[in-house]
Amino acid sequence: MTSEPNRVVLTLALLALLIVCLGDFASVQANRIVPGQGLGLLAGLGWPWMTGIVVGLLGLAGLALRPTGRRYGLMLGLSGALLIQLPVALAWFIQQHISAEQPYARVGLAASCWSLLFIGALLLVELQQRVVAGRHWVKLILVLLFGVSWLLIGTGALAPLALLREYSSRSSTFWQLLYGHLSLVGGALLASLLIGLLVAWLILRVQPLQRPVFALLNFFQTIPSLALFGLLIAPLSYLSAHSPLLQQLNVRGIGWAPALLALIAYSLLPVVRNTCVALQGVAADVIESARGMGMSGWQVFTQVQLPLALPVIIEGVRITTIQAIGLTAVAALIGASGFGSFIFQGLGQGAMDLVLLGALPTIVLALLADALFSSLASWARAGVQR
Amino acid sequence: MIAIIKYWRGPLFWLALLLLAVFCMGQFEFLFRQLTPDAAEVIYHRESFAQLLLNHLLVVAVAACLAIIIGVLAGVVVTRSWGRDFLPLVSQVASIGQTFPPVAVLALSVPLLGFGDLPTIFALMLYGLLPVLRNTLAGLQGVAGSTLEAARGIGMSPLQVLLQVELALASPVILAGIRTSVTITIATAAIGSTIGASTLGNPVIAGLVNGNTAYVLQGAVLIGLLAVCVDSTFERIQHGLALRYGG
Amino acid sequence: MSDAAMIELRNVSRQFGDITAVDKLSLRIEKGEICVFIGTSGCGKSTTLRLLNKLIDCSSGEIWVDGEDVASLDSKLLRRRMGYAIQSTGLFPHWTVERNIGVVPRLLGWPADRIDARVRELLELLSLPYATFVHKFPSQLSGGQAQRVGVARALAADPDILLMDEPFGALDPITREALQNELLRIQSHIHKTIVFVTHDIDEALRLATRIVVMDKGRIVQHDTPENLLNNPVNSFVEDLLGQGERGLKRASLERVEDFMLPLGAAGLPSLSIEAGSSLRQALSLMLWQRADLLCVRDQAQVPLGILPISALLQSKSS
Repeated sequence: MTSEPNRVVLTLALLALLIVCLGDFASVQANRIVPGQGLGLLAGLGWPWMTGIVVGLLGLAGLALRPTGRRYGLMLGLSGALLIQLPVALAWFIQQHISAEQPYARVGLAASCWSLLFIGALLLVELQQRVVAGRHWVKLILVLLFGVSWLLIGTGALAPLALLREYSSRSSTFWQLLYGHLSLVGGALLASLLIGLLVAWLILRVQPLQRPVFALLNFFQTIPSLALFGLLIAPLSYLSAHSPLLQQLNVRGIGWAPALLALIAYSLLPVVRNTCVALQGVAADVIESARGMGMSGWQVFTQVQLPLALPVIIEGVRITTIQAIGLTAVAALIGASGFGSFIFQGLGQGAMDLVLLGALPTIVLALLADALFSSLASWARAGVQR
Repeated sequence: MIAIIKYWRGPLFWLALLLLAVFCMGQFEFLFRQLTPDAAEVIYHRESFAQLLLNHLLVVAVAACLAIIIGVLAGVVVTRSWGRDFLPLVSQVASIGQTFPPVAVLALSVPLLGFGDLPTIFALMLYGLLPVLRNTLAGLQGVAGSTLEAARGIGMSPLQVLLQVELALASPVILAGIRTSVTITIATAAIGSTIGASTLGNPVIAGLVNGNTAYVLQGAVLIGLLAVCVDSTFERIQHGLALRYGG
Repeated sequence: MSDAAMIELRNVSRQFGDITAVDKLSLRIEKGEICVFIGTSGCGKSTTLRLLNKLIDCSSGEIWVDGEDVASLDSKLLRRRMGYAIQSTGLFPHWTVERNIGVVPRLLGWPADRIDARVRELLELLSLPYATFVHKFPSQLSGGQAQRVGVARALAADPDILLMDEPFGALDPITREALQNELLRIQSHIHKTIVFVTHDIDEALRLATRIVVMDKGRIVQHDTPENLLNNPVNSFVEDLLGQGERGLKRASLERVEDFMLPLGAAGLPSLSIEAGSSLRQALSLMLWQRADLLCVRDQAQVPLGILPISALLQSKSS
């Protein structure tokens, strides 16, 4: 049987090849201030390593010309190998170009390294659906990637990486910001869940309230975050100035209070909307038959409506959480604690590594939240089917 | 004429408020004075509000137009028979991409392009593309197979099927995506002030840095009014489209 | 038989992967006939229809339409020459009835006033009042109305050939029968070549000039409805016809005027039936009224002959 070439893998592999050959792999800086010097694959890693990467990519392209089930497995393996070798290659790069007498020298990732990471991730996304049990293999690859990186960081082999240099000079702040970020998101999530479920319950009972409530919540979503944060400063400073109790609670015009309020305002819409849709979406005849079997109103709710609606409600929580993680980063502008501090400090100082130290963990948090709530939702869905 | 004004009264109301705020902010000095009695200056003067508004709109318009063109084109390409190989990857990337916080994307464009309007536009375009792309895919895939079969069966060319049937039927969904995209773009453009774009975020950032609550409030009010004005315009357009299709 | 058939299939096959949907099909469809394809689902009847307007290409073989090999024709232009109506109507939900019907003329570049006149004419023809329907959207039509619009759209550019893929399949029995009658009435005016796909044997017997029975991608029998009923080639066709009902099915194809006897000297029977009615209707009337003799009259109630029950048992008199 002849098979069509997989044009996606082919394109990605050739694109990666092009970038790898043309772009810099990593750059070396003598210290934080001076501009870095970029090094390509050959200059940075030497020809054996370069050959390995090029052959790997060519192999990928070759396999994609005539893909079969078995070859897809090989392609996934090759893509995984390309990703997992990245931290090792960086460690090798550092060993080649940074000596122990340069405590301030640092290595930044450059175009071809980022591209390999990015295209590798795209390859995993594409190949995951082509291989039997692809999801599990991809998980294994990710675990290996993080394991290898962790190991290399642990031994100090990657210490001169710019990102890690920035981290090591601010490690305690980093964890404080993580705590601040998570507690703001968590607080907003908890509060909006409580209020949101209550509001949903209310407007399901009192139908005429639905339109105005949704209009209001939609209106909040329309207001840009920076504007809402800004609008809350004046009233909150006024309240704080006139209430000793609020002062004791550290509620001021700037800081956590306006951030939390704005986050809750933004979070309500996904929670309320999905809860309403989910509960109203349970087919009337299902409820009718549950009633017909003699269930009480409470039993219908807990045994029929809620289990059927749960996955959709969790989806609302997922959207809320991802949104809140991003908004909390913005809230750093009004003095709330979170990874946004690093981002805006870095932007202020023109220190891109510091920006990365703020932006990357924010993205990772969002991706983790996405993964967590997606699997929760599918677990709830499976529960319904059981 | 009266009917038109009546139909657009929502957006017109917000537009009037926005223009009032842009041109007559100085008239309200006494109010802002209450907020910051100690500040030397109460009304933001570094750039005129009109100039900031125009530049904000320009940044948003360029980014949104690029996002719409690229998003719709990409959505069309991967739903054609010759581009369908890329559909799973593109739709996955579109949904994964939306979990990236807009601020992070904005910040990450600085190392690539430096400070100023350009990286802001680039980041906004990249991020604004995702909702457009996602809704284009959803809209095109939502067109019933029998409708497509009939369109081909009566002798429409592929381009005619695409323009007169597929895109026309998907347009309400695509428009909803464009609305989401523009809303995000307006909001993120304000934050673009932190990477050197000149937008309505400038007074807010300046106010936050200098502890001048009046500046913050002026910027916030303008950004909010702009967002509501544009969003209500989209609401009317969607409403009109729904009416045209016999709801 | 005329030399040039309207549609001719020569050894046409179509494979989907390992499955052969249409297997070396050869067939002539004459000008002005209603050719009905019938068979179980998956027998290849719809595939064959789609081969005709090149929605699907043949794997091998040739299809000739009006003296031209379709392989040499541009598929868009070919399709614009053939009306196409399908079960789910395929009406464009974002266009009014007017625009839906006018779509092919518009594709062909007709001037606006000619399109408008044509839309009027077609709505008239399909018994849809112009003023009521012209600005409606498909979502505002009932199933039967939507299907009428679908047929009107297929007829819009006055094509020589009409392809219909189970057009009445999703309708309730009463509406379906009304539309079948409508189609026969229209066909008596326009004399198109109609290729019609159905899985309903009664529909096939009622509409067809000739019926093509298909199974597993092959033609089992290609014959007139009468011959199909009288001489089914094998048990598959017999099963399709419904063993127990064959007599009644045949009777519903035969008309009273072909079996009546001349008026005799005796007085006229009190029960009458129209000359154009089917034998089945005559039989039903006799059974219901417990009568063995009917008077046959024309539409103006003028007596033409008599129909004794014994006449039903004769073979065709004329």
